[in-house]
Amino acid sequence: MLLYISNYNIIKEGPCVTKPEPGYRLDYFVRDCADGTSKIVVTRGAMETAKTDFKLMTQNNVLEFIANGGLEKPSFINRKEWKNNPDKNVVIMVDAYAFFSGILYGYIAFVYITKTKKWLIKSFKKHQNPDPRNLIFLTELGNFLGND
Amino acid sequence: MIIPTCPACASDDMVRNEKIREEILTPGLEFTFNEIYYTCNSCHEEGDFTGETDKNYLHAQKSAQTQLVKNILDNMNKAGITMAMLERVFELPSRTLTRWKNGDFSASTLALLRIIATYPWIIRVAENRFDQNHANFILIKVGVEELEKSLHPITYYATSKIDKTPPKQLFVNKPIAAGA
Repeated sequence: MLLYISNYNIIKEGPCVTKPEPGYRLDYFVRDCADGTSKIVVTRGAMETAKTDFKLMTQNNVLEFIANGGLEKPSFINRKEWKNNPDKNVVIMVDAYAFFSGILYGYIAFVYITKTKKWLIKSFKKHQNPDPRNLIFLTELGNFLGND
Repeated sequence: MIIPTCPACASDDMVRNEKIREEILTPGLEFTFNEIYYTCNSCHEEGDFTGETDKNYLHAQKSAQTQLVKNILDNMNKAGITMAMLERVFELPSRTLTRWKNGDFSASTLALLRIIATYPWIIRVAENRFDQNHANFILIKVGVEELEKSLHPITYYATSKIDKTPPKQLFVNKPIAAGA
């Protein structure tokens, strides 16, 4: 399989891979967050949950948080098509990552729009899945209760 | 007024929305600001694409923070904690708290005042130069007092009245153990 990296996208040619892989370079996304809202926009829905879940009250708060390494141990979740894309001739994909921030387990989804040359943060919230750091305790607890 | 183009699909078909929003400053002071956001009729994305909401929010937040600093310092003063004493205990330059009260404060100021308002016994820890042994002793003492209060609230407050040491408050409706 041939793999090469364009300005923002990782482009693959060759046989289809089953394991999902990110479409964008996360380090480029983090780097561009340092440039503020000139390059990245946080959607209203993402901003609402950034406020309630992470106490990040403005778009700049969110972008500075990301640029300063706020997404701890990011792990790629999946890549899905942007549903609201009005241009049906072009497929635009959204990358989603899980991350930690202290005791919080978070979820972020973003997309790069080539047409406007802007990143769009579609989602920024607490992850709905249980924190994997607690899984070991849950397993231990389950074993303990099961054995009792 | 210039309507921005959609950052998601570059459409010009955008609608401007305005909404009065309520927000709560940590800890507990309410304020309002004018939220302005745009909705794209083409891709239905919504957001503050011009930065107006952020500007309005920061302006309203600053006013609320100024009020919060005043409230905390006034309530401390009422509880017998003077500004001069706080400056001495926390080794701050003189008149620092006066500057804070007049609106010249930073995010660190707010962080410190929130900690003092929530855990007033930190003043006694600071008085003892943050010595770990003293700090642990004060923490245990306060912990025991809080436990007594929660187990026997009526007796505790009755005893407080007899001893003429009424529970002091830095926030309204939030009793604190200032005499730790």
